[in-house]
Amino acid sequence: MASGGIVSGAKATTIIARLTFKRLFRGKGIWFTFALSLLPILIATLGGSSTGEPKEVWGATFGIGVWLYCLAPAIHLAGAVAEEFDDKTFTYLWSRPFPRWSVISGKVLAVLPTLCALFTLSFTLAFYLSYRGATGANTGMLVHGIAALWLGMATAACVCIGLGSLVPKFPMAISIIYLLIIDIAISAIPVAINKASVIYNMVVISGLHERSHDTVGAIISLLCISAVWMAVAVWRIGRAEYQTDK
Amino acid sequence: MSAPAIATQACSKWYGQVLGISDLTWSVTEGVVGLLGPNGAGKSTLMKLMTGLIRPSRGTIQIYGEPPHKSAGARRRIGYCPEHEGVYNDLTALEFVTFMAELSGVPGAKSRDAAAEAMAQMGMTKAQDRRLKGFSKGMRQRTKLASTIVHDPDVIVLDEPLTGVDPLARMAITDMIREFGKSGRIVVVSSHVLHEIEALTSEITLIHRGQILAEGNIYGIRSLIDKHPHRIEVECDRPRDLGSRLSATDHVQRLTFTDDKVVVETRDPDSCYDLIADVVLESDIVVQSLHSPDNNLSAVFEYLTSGRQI
Repeated sequence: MASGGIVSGAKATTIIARLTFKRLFRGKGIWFTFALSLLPILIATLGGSSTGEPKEVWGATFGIGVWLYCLAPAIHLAGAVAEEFDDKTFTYLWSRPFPRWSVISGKVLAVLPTLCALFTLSFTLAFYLSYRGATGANTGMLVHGIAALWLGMATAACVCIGLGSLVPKFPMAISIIYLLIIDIAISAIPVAINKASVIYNMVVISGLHERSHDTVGAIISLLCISAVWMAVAVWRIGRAEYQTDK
Repeated sequence: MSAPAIATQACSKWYGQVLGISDLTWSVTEGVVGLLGPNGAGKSTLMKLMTGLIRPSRGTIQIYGEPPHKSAGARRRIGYCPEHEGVYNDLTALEFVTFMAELSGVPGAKSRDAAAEAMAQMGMTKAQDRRLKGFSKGMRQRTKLASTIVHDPDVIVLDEPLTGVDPLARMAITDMIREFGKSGRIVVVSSHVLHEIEALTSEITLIHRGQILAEGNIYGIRSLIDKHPHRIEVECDRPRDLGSRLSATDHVQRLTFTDDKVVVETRDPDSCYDLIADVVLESDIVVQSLHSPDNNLSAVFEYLTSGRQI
């Protein structure tokens, strides 16, 4: 038998990412997410076949898509910490010689690029379907849209993991309620507090916001939101002591 | 002098208002040690403290001089097999053990071989490529044990490893635990069943309500347990005749009668059982049932803790 040793955080992250990736594609959740990713394409197709202006069709597609981009991380990452406790598998992980935060980083490393790739494909196709046969589409708009997608999805992932670590009983439900009700409500507040909204910043980065075009400010806001929620998750996972038999 | 493998010093753990363990000072330096106590005694809490899953509320716990909840160096030396059956059901047994090997610091290139070797040691080679979802309790237990030893730990912590497993698996696991002990590793194994522990080791620690009642050689503890007044209930057609014959002996301390039953309290249960058999045969008494309400660990613990303020 080979002897063990201390495992660095980076190394543990890659091991857990491989483990998560394998489990992701053996589970059913990824197929549900794949079906969700087809919705923007469907909306763009239906909108394009009506008499709507391409920019309006694209705006509507992006608007609905934004919700889905928040929903996917909630499905796959909100329970990142909680599922280990529910299944009691944390007992295998926590007793091994690696830092606990690697469980979060490993899961994000496996899930987020997969979701981004899936939704980038769907998003790009929806963009060209929105503008089919019309002038005015340019690569810049698509790049802004994809940047909004990636940053928004990464931030939504951090929010979901943070919330899931705080409320481990119902992580997915709490994350969906937060992102689809509270976050949207915050985005509608007409003062600077709306910068705390993931969806508001995504719309600004995409270039589809009517008044604000402060892309850099929106990117910084998303990074700050991500950092805060990730710090919450790392703090919680470091301190968490879940009782299995009391 | 080197630090003991496991050492707790005035260690306490509360779960809110619920006591896990209380002011526990204990150490293990070698061999197989059985942690024995009824359900809820604090065995699992102590094991979780040993493996760094939880922190002490007060006092210290150290593995080779380092606190396991803080030190990856301490956790590197531990192999832990939890009581529950939770595993990653969508993985095959070999994948699961391989991942656990990697997470325990076995280099990637060697991890699969180490996992296969551990599975072979558990007699699981044939089933190692099947998903864990379809495994029986015994197969899961062996897979969990393989993941416990895959990184060749110095200290092996096994929480109720024999609970719910079939007799064949039980025998295999018992042999394996003895082998671990012979190979120079330190093994801490918990159970609430005395004879399970007796089959594994002669060194035991009795734990009850979060405190250590007794520790050391099982024969010493056995004699302590044997001092416990032992009740034998005999349901028969002539309880008073039986009682009068038994009362003439030294080891019978008290007799209690009901219409069809006599309860004998004795300090020498073996002799008392022999005597009852003799009297029944000689006097032609018809016995409907015979049992001992004290023939379980909880009763022994109640006796050992009577008069103690815990």
